[in-house]
Amino acid sequence: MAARPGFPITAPEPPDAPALTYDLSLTCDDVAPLRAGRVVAEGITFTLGPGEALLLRGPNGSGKTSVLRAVAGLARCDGRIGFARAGGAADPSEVRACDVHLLAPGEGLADRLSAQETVSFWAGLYRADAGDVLARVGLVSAAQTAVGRLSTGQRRRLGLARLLLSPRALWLLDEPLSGLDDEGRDLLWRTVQAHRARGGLAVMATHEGDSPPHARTLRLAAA
Amino acid sequence: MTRSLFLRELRLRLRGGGWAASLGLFVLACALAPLGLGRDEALLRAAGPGLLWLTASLSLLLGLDGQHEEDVRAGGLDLLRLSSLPLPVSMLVKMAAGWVSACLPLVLVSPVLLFAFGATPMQGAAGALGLLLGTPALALLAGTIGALCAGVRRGTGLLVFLALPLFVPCLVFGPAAAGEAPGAPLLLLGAFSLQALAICPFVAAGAIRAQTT
Repeated sequence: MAARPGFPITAPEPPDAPALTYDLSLTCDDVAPLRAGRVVAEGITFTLGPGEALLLRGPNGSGKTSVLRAVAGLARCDGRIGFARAGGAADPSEVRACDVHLLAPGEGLADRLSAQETVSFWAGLYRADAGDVLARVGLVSAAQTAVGRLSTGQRRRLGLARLLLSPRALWLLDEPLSGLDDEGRDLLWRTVQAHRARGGLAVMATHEGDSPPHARTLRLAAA
Repeated sequence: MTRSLFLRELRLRLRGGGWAASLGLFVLACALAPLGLGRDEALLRAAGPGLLWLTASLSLLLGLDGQHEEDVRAGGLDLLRLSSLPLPVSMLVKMAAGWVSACLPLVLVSPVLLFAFGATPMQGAAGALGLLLGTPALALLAGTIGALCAGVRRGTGLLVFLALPLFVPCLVFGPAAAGEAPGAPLLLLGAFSLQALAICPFVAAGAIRAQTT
């Protein structure tokens, strides 16, 4: 397995860098995620500290999604996945309950709810204030539309709204660019950069394509 | 948190329309039964409660079907698993929304149907109370079997075969609650629901974990 050592990370420092708000770090040590009982990738080893981002790249079936799901605790895996905060090791189940966002193509949307109702549900679930989050992802005009009638790109934008809604340290983004137009991609990159500037972590699984600045890349070989 | 999840589930259940199909089948089947059974008043009065429970348990399968499929497919349950709400609590909230949308309407119309079959006011009230105490068990069991079949295409067929046998205690004690001595059957129905309440959320959570892991 070609786990290429990444570049050293320098967290982006915009002139008005806000104070660090997250202190979570993630360590994967020789992780081999399983999909349907089969090992789909082996030897995944990386460490992400506050503000760092990792790009998982590889062809279809190379286990990118499985790695993300294993980190989220939603897939079985061999090896060790550990979380740590400034004070020391953190309980994985506590981190997953409170500090992990998983953005996947289905987005966990229910077709019969409107976009607005979906956002209010998330706001309740994460004990957050919905605020103007729909406006920030450019969905104001579609607020009352049933999610089932939204376009693919609009669904992805609604998924982004969840990231903005509730501050969580670790973002696991599965093919975050698919379905988004240029403006949407720009919004995604800006969102991820702002997240990293606050000390947030991001792990992104993408095929080829553009990458955010200062992100390490881990290539997964075809299974 | 539970409140917003309950609202979401209730909206989805009400918009899904399963509850209307379930209520319609229940009322129609009970209304048509005298055509098949004949006009013998004594027979109708005796058969009423049993018929009511039989049609209720069959029609509830329509209303309680498909509670988890979309959430398994689109990843809604992944979000719930990555929230600070324990999964058994989430499952319990989903089942509660299922009960309110599918079972509560049946409970509310049941006295009318019982009177139509010739029950006394006392029997009608006891029969409705029996449904009120017994249907939570049906909603919990159907929700649990639904969680077990959530990853299966066309899980409805499985739901029928797996859930109906588990409804047996309700079919035995439910009709008895509208009979001469309603006390013991009502207590047993309540006990059955409490037992389901203690077990089902955990079984359903385990089933969902096994299927989405």
